[in-house]
Amino acid sequence: MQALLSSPAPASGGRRPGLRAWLLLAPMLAWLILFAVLPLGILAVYSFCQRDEIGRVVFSFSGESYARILEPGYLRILGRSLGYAALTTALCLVLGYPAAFYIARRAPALRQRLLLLVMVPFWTSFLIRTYAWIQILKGHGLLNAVLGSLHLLAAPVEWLYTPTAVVIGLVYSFLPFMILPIFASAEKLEGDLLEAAQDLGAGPFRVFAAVAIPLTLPGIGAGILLVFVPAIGMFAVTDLLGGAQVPLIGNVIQNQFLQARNWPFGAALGVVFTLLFAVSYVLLQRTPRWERTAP
Amino acid sequence: MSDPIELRGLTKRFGSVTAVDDVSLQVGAGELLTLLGPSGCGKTTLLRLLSGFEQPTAGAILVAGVDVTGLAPYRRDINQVFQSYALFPHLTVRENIAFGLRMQRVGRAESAARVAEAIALVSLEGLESRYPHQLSGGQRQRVALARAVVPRPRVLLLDEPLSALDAKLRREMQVELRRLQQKVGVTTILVTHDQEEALAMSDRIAVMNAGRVEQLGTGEEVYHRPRTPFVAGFLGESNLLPVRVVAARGHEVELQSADGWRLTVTSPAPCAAGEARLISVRPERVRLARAAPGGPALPGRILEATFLGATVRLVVEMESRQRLTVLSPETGATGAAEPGAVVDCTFDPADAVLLTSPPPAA
Repeated sequence: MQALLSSPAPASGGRRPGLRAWLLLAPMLAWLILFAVLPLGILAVYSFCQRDEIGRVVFSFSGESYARILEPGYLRILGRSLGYAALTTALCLVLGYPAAFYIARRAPALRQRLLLLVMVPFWTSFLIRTYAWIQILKGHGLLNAVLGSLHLLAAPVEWLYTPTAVVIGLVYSFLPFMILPIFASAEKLEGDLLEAAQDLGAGPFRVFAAVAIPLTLPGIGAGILLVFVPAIGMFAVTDLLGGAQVPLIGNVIQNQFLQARNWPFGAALGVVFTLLFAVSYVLLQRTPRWERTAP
Repeated sequence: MSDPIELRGLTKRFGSVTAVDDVSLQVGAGELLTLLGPSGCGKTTLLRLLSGFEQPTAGAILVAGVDVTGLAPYRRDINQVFQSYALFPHLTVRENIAFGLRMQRVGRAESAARVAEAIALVSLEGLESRYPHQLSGGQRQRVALARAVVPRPRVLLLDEPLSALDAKLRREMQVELRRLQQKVGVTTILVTHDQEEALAMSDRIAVMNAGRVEQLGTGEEVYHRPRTPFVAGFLGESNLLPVRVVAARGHEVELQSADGWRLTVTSPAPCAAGEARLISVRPERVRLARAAPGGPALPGRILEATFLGATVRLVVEMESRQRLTVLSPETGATGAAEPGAVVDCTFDPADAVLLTSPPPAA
């Protein structure tokens, strides 16, 4: 992940790339233009357009869609989305960090197997896995059955279609995206450093706080980025597990394109969302101070 | 800040492998003792037992008479300089050195003063705000040392501290490290596989082999009076010649070789007539000459001659096919030290060391 997000090395000797280099780059540039730049461009153009009565896009400039985002109703939804995303990110971090750290410190063979377990869910469709959660969370579902048989619950609790179910679903969906970048960071952390800290009098907690956390900060940053922003825009989990009781910004965007047929407004929300990602990226992917200094 | 450390019957087994086998030794306050041995001899495991990263299967570790065997690494007043230095990459030189004091919750003013003192001690003034990746290998080594001594440990452990440096810097740092150790006066255990490093730096050397201490003594003792074939061969080069005990009168032992020459040496331990033993003779103690007084006459033919500058290294094959390595000042000007030349070799009986019989293979 780090390698993917970091900027490429400067061209050797500062030479401008020649024709051959451009030709070699062409397929990738074409791919990027076709699937990243063009769709974003269309989104940006639509966001400044208007719609007619039957929902067709009219190409005349207007900032109306952006003004609408600032209406209290939408701001409230946006705020709620940020809250859910923040809670999801925090829970993923609390659950994911120990898991990632544990996996990274195992012997290579076991490490590979544990890592595979983290990635196994990706083999099944995300929607199917979310439907599985309905079976677990419903009134006569697995969770109540287990808690009931352990006598932890007097009566079955209705988990499904509650904010709790939404948070469970979100944390479940995004946990691997927190674990993987932290794992990549923790794997690079040399065991000697942890031993040196202990040797100098640091107990387990202080080894963690003074050495492990600072040195895995890039992984934590990447994990937050990969969980927080997508969690804001997630709509399937809120629909399926929340029963559309608590609309988040993702549901609003989806609605604009499908039911409300207000593409310019949906596009404006999309653009704001993309900018949000860009800002988070800049904030979270800064090179640590100790790596920025020249050797 | 300097205390003796004692190891009592320390043993560490990993499954069926015995890495450290019943090691007992004492290191006096302020002394520098070296654990010397080839890789796999157990010296690194022994160090990890002392630092607390491994728990012994049996035995005890006492620092200033207090048993620390069960204590976690962060509860021991034993600090280590790691082979990789293990400097914290996210902390500056100053912050790295202050780390131990921070963990001990030493006050800000005292910490600053002690760190400044340590930085002056290892001559790193002006580099306080650098990060480890901005330092040279020698500078990192100094930071690692300063970081380990600043919390005033009772015992300092040095794990192959100079192995990452080039040969020239290594020689300089040997002297430097020894000077600093004596200045600070901290009881120190050094682990190395480099015999030159061990001889240059140590008060005493414990030569380790297969998890055991084969011989413990000063550099001179271990080099000049090795007790086992392993010690004779590991510290410097050695000619091992098989002999048989003909007669023993107290420490006076009369020996005879398969070739028939006889030799009388003094033995550190009693031995009985008829025993098969080895004697060790250093290549630089073998001379190209007719028999020295009391020494054997060993005629042979030169197989190889390697010019080394001040000396010439010769491999001489004797009539018994036994080969003898000779370091001779005859640098070829006389023409006597050419391959094929027939020469007489001899050595002074005082330079022959009677080895104890090799321990039975485990």
